[in-house]
Amino acid sequence: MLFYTFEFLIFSIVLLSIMGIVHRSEPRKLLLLFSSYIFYMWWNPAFILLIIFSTAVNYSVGIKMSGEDNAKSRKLLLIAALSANLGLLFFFKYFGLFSDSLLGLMRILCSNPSWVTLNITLPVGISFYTFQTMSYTIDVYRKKISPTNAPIDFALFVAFFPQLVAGPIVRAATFLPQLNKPIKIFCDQQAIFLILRGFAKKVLIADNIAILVDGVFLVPGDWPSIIIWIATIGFAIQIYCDFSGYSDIAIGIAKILGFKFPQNFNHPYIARNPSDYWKRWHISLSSWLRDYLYISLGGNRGGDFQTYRNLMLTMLLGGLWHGASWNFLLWGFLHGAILIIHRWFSNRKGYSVGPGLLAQVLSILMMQYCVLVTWIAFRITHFPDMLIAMRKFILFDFDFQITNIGVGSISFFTSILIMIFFVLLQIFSIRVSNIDEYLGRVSRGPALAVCSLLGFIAFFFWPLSQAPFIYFQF
Amino acid sequence: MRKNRQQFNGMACLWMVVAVIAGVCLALSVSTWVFKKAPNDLLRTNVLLEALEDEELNPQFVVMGSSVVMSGVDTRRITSKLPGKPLGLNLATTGQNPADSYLYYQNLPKSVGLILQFTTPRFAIGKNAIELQKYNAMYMYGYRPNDNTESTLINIFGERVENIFSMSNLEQRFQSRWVVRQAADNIVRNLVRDDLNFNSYTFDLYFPNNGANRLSALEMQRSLSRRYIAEHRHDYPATEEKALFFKNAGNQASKLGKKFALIINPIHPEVHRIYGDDWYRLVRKYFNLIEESSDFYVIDASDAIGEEYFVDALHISKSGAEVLSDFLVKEIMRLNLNPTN
Repeated sequence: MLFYTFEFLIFSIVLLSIMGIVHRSEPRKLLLLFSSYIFYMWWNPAFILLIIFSTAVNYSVGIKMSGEDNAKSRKLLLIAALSANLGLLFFFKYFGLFSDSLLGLMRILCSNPSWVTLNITLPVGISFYTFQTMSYTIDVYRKKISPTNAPIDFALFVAFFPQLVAGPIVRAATFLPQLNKPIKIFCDQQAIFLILRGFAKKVLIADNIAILVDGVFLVPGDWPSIIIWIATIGFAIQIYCDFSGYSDIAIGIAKILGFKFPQNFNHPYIARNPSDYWKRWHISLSSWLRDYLYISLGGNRGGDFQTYRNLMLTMLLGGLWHGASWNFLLWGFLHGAILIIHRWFSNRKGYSVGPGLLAQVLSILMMQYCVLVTWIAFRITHFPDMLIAMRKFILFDFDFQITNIGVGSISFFTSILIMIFFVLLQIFSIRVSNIDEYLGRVSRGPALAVCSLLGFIAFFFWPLSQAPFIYFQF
Repeated sequence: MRKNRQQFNGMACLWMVVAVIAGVCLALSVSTWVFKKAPNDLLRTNVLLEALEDEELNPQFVVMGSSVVMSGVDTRRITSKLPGKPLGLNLATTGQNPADSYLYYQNLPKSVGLILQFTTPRFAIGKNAIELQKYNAMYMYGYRPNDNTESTLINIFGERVENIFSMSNLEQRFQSRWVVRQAADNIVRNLVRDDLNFNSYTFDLYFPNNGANRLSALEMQRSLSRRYIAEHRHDYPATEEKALFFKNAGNQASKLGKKFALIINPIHPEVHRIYGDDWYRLVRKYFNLIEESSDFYVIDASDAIGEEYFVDALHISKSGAEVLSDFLVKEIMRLNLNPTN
């Protein structure tokens, strides 16, 4: 069920109406769990079994671990839980890539390999809820949190519908304590603006820019460098608005249902270095990778080489988390390389970015240039096309023959206008510091005017063909 | 106090939702006005619909097709060279395929004695029928199909066109939102692309060639590779559905007392190299079969003009239009299609 569909509207109205009738917390939890399962089953009923399996395994292991003092036994329990979680993830997400790659290798080695390939459907949101349940089990193992004895609470933590299919990845330490308090519907201006902002980002910005991005990246070899640049910047805005739009809607819906979710994005395109970038982009995933992978590998506790190795492994796995495709691995590799280069420079004596405005702006531009290059690897799955686009992006061809621009179906100028509009909104958002609080404080008249304007614009700029959220595929 | 605050919040949320809906309703109520005022690439549709209602025009032949026909056929030149000087209109619009053209047939005045219907070979192989955006433009400019047009197209193309015809007025108005994007695109394009001039599309009923400059060799190559990617080549024979459509179009013209000729669009000679000669032979064979089983002629203009007359992969220069128009005059005379006869 997609947030911007009529079914979801009905689903929300029914859910809120029933919650309005049921006042006690326990029935409300059951209702939320039941609704979350229906939300998920709308896509494919069979795959709810995976969520139930994952819930049962991690809940049981948590309970078992709490009663176990023997370190070795605790470790074995952790290994069992992680094997179950990662086994599911590997089978459903990576088996195809693994078997196809092996088949490719065998074709090189022997002329006619006999090999059976399976066509496996990827369960929506599996990467998100698997990482969520793993964080719970690891935190219980590390004794950072106490395991919950309430199966409904845990099941709701795993399946809570606002963040089930595309995050943010919420930690048990954040979510479970909220279930100990009464669940109260709290619909305020800030929550509605969060949801509206999410819709606007997705439908008005991301989906409209996608027309230009898709048109250019279909055959990147046909376009000069200037257009590749515009399309790459367009994709950077598209994926940000698509994903952070989903996060905004999820956080807003959770807020109405009485839950507080952590921020998932914080102006990533003003990051001045790679460390700063990963504190701003998909924060719930990057902090997960830091806490459960990078630190588990040793973090920066060893020498330089171990640190670089850990950074690269973390980013490679972070890339693979996005999907079973070599281009995501390359994307992770590039980000790993950028982090290593930055750390290498940072460790050198005398290296630091000055406090002046020019130095700050230059560092932002340099960082974002690197981010844009990595977005090409992320967006274009066809390797020869990816290399062509990267070459044209890095080695600018100074070809300004733009005969095809403005004619045809890629709405070139409108997309650029929307990109400029996005930049202006970002500047405004940065200037007001906390946009959510700001929007929450706006007095009623202007707030209603903004809502009407959004409705008016949404009518005319609602895309002719609706694309699902990009991060659904992960 | 606390309860009051929560109630206020709830009401505030409700008002915000109502405000969004009010914004949507306002947009819906002005959508028809916006559509008629917004500059767009299908504005010519309105010009044509109005021209067909003009009782003083009395055209005797019409030419229908896409922007290739807009750039490549000068009906004034044809009129001047045909005996009896029959008045001809160029009713081509951007991206108009033969199914789109068919929608206009019901509106043709009685004075029209000949329909010259252009088609691309590709139209015959695809699943495409009426294009929603073009139909939407016609609808928003006041066109409504009659029962005969609807039933003929539904019989041939099934639910693909039935879905379009069955859209309600509200749905069509919501669908028409594309015009705002295109208006924004057109306004900026007019400001930054002084080399492009589409003004003639909005008034010229005879030869709306925009006088585009010929592309450089590099750009021409890009334009060709964008348009004719070798992988896009589809093998003929084409679909039976399209053959049936062409026959119906011819029959409909006969019923309306008009002569009809199906013309294969001029194609850039480089496409021969990209798609191969075999492909061309199959295209010709397909259209020959249609001609043999119908009461109308198929005119092959695919190689009627040389490479030097193309301004890009598709469109034709003004001098190329002279060549193509003269070719049509010759064919009309040869096949005895002159409406004044």
